[in-house]
Amino acid sequence: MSDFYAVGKSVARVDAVTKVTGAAGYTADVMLPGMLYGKAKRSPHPHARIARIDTSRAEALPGVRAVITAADVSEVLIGLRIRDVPLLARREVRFAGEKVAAVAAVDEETALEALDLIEVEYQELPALIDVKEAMKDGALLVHENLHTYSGLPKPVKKTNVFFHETFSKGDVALGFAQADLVLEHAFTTQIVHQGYLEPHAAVVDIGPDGSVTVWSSDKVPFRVRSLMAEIIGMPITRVRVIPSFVGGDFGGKGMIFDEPLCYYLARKAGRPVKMVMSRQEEFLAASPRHPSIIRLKAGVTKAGAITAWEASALFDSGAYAAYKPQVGLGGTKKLAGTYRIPHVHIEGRYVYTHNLPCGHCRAPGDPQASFAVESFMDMIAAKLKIDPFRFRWMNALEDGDLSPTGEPWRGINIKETMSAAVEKSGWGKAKPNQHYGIGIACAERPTGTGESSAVVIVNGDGSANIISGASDPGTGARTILCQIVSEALKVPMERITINLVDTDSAPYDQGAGGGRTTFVAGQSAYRAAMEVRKELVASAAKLLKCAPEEAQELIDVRDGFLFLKSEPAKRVSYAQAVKGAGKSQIMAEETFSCNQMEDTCFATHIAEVEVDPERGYVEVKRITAAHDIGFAINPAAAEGQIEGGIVQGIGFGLLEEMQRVDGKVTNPTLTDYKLCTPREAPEIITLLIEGAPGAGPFQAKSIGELPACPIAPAVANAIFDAVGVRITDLPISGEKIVNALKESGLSGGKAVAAGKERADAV
Amino acid sequence: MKIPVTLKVNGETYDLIIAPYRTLLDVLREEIHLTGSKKGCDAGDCGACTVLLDGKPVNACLVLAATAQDREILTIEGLARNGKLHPLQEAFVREGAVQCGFCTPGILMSLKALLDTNPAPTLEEIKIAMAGNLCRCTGYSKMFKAVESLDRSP
Repeated sequence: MSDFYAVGKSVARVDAVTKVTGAAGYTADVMLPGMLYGKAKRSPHPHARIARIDTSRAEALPGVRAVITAADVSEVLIGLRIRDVPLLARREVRFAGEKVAAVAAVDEETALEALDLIEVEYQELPALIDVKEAMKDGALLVHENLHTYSGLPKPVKKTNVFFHETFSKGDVALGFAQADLVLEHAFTTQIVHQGYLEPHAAVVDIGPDGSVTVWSSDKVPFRVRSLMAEIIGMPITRVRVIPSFVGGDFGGKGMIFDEPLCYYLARKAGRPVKMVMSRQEEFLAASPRHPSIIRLKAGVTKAGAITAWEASALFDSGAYAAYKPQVGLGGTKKLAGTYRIPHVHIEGRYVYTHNLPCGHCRAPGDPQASFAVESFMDMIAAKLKIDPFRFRWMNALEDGDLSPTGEPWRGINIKETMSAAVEKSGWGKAKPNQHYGIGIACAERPTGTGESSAVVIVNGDGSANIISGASDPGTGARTILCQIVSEALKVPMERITINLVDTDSAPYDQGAGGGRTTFVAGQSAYRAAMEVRKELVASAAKLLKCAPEEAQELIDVRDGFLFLKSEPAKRVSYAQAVKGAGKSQIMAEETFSCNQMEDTCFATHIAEVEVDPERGYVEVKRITAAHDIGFAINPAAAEGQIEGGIVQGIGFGLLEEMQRVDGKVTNPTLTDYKLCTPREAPEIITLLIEGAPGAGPFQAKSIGELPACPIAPAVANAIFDAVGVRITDLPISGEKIVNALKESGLSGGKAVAAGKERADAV
Repeated sequence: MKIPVTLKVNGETYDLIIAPYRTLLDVLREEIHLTGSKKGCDAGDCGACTVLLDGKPVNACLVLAATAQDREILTIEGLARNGKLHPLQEAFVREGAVQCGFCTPGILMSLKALLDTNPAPTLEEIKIAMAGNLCRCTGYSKMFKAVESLDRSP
């Protein structure tokens, strides 16, 4: 591995200096001459009819330049897949926080003052805030016209269950009949925000010819462009999206939010308009992680083989489904974990309610599924009196096995991650104190697919440019692309440049998401660089007096020079090769597209915790995380993804919850909604397990999403190990632990295997 | 009604006429166009707007600009001197402590304040100094490592 030129090294990120000096421009930093500030008026009610909106007092306020309501905007419904969300609520609001009007004013204070002057008369309607109520026959319908919406996989009518998916393998009835023991349990997970530090922001400027320029915190500029063009009714060429740095994403920056309102306000006011969501608006109306109710049922033999597995998940989608790029969540398919099970049946249901709409949040659906499955694995192991590691090991998939839902998976190395994590953690060692506990969890997530293009240019001075529309919301993607091109061309990193380029200047890229960038954008950049290299070699062949048909074989490159392998001292620079080709630059463009793949990635996390049984306080002491990564192009960047995912996952497991009363979020601030601070950050041992073949350049796999998956169950299992109570409802707050200890009579006492196994928990 | 306020930011003096209710963060960003200090919550929870006021870290979103009159304000834009990065900035770059970068300016300012008074902090002291700063990308690990990688000789 050490003979690589640029990959496999923890090089500094290409944008790090820009970021540490405060020079990096994010969308909220965009300032244009004459720019106005926009703000949205939001419904306080989860469900109401809009009887009347009077904007006259707001319009009369000095400094206000435009006020818009649904009457001023397109009636088109938008969405990433299912199109069900209006630009502004029309006649009806479906969640508390939905936008009903917007203003643009000379400054933010005036805009906020104007919001208060907009009079909206609501007729409150009964709200469906319980997902099970919403599923009942005859329930109030959140969307009366559901059957007319586009993007649904099949038409459904008169229901709030807009999507029902199943995955089956074998015959579960037969599998359960073969079992010695059947266990069943229900798990619930809460609604959490992605927690990116940069709130959504958008700026729109309309040129004198009507062309539209958009700055957006969205991570997918090309999708912003196509959605905006569609809404406005213009060809794509009339909309240009200029990407800024994106201040964190985790799935929450894939949908347009205020961009269309900026457009309509700008059109009415004749000035550019900026809108930045407040932190409160982020909590009321962004696109957080779906809360879930998951029921698992397993049949096992006394010896510990799993004979059958049944799973069902209910996801509360909230008022709209528009924020999901797929109809469902990938996590549903994960409800049988990473184990050899002959008979499996999984169902997932996605339900409209009058809660705030949910979307994609780092590994959509997976953390919910992982919490249920990996908690349940420990509960089964406890029942069978088998060590949780051994129970997993006995049942873990091996290379060549099909997935639990019967699909081919390539390069299964779950056991390598298990061994590595066990070896480096405190697993199997003496407990340092009586409040200490250790827990294990495993997870799997595929490498993402999609479409990317890249242009690679070697200039007349031998330096190189990459022109790519790939986005980098903090993942390091642009650095990785530079490393890949540096490796392919053997041009030093400092002579390669990748800039943020707008949608007119870069070729199409599907955008970051699903762990696809290193694979898809990486392949496009690698292939383009290799094309350029071929042309450089062909040009150098003349100068090196090498037969053209042998040149690609006989000529090698290093540090921006070409030479015959047999005569490395005699070199031709890239600059000479470009000139020798009779050109000012040598350029190639490659598109890489992949829609289906068998590549997947595995991880094992081991959590070590200390639990104070009096207060229920959980201190996560250490996490050992082993990740199957194929090949780490930038190990520090890969570790950064893992470490960030772990701390985010600890928040999901222990701290975070958007609390709601009557459909309204009651803790919409970072004071009351707790993200992990530096003081909650544990020691983290990251283990990058290389060697399994990935589909990315240099056999890299993906790393963005998986770290957030196994962490909550690993912590839950460690808490059980520490104090003997099994909490199956996230987050595992101190209160839940103390109450469970009281209920079980273990209060303050020592752990015994006394997990509550109430099949009727929900 | 607006009032005259003189702010000294990164060694330069700015004479401004501003509304008395405006925060230091808004004035830095919108009047002086120093946008390196970030608005993540506007409520003192996230620390992305941390600047030094007479050497002490404060959330610029919780300080009224008028009250910063005649005090020394240091923002992220003033951390590098004469084109040379502060050792903390270099360490963040070197150790891979920067991901999306939105929290980075505030965290660097909190840590600068720490190192000015305590050049050899323990991990616990680093955590306490950063306790008012949130980061969602890094899990903080590489930030701790960056500070620990600095020359700790007093």
